[in-house]
Amino acid sequence: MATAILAVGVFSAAFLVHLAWWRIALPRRQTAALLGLFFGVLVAWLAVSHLLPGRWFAAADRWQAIHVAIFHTACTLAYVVAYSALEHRSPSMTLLVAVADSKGAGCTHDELHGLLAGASPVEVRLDAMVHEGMIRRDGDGYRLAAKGRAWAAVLSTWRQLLGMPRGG
Amino acid sequence: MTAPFGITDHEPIIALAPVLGLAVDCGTHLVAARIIRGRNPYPSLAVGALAGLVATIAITFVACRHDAVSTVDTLALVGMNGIALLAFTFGYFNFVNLTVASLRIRLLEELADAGGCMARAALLDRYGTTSVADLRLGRLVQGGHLVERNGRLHTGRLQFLLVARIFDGLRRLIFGSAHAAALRRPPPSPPPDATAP
Repeated sequence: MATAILAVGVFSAAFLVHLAWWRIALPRRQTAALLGLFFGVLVAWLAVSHLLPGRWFAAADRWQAIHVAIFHTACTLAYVVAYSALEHRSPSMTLLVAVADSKGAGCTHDELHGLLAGASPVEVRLDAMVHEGMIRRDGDGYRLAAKGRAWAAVLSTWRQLLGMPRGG
Repeated sequence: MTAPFGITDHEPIIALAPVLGLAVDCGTHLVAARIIRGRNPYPSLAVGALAGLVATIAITFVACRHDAVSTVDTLALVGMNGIALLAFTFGYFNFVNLTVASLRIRLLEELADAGGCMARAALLDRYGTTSVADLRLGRLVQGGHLVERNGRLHTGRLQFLLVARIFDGLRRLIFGSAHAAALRRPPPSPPPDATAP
């Protein structure tokens, strides 16, 4: 029980700091800030456990610390993944919510096309990828950056392993 | 109780159970994806997730029993490892989903196929908003999340809609109501001459 309480406590502490920080000011590079904050809190707790052994908030032994670290890492990675969907609502979610918000009336194909035409998802994604360093502006076009090339290679390989067609 | 493989302290096994469960999840998914062929990637993902969860819970439970851990502590550790496995599984699900549904990855692949460089107009033309809407609508209808009746689309299965509602609630919690409402609105269209030289 102590391990579970410690794990939930460390993650909750990081989440509360995140909430407070985001309400005061949004960091410019939000994903990097989230990773830094959540893993920073974990490292701080591990350091405190090492320096102040035997306290109620410290890990009892090495494996309890590792167990808490694994739980924290899993929850942090899941939250960071979910957070990217919080920053920008996906086209699919936009369509689903528009249909649900129409109550029983439903929506026509044209109405839903109009919704995404306003959002211009391709341009939004291109701008986001320039910001993240995946691609670079190159005159009137875009050039693939090393980071983007690596992502494309890894995900394409995995998709081919699964035998799935190209998505988007 | 005799310890398996001569191990007397199972704490490392209990701690690493979610990582072992993730390995079972990925391995089972890869095999299931080869067996369950088709465009829909989710049945094989569900099989992998279930196998990973069962493995994690079983490893944790058996290791706790061998260490004579109390019932309350066993339940707490099984719950903790189950949550950790579900979190890992969520990350893995999104990784796979990226490969089959992400617009960003599709654009990156288009650029890679074109030798790493493409004109903006060509990209927008090749993958315009109409095809985005068609692809997404087709996928939502095929998955049963939207149902077409009398030429109008209605809500079908509720899983993705529930996720969208949860995300709306999280946006309000994290960003505050005003900022969350701004995020919900689609960004304005660029003016007609925005791409003109």
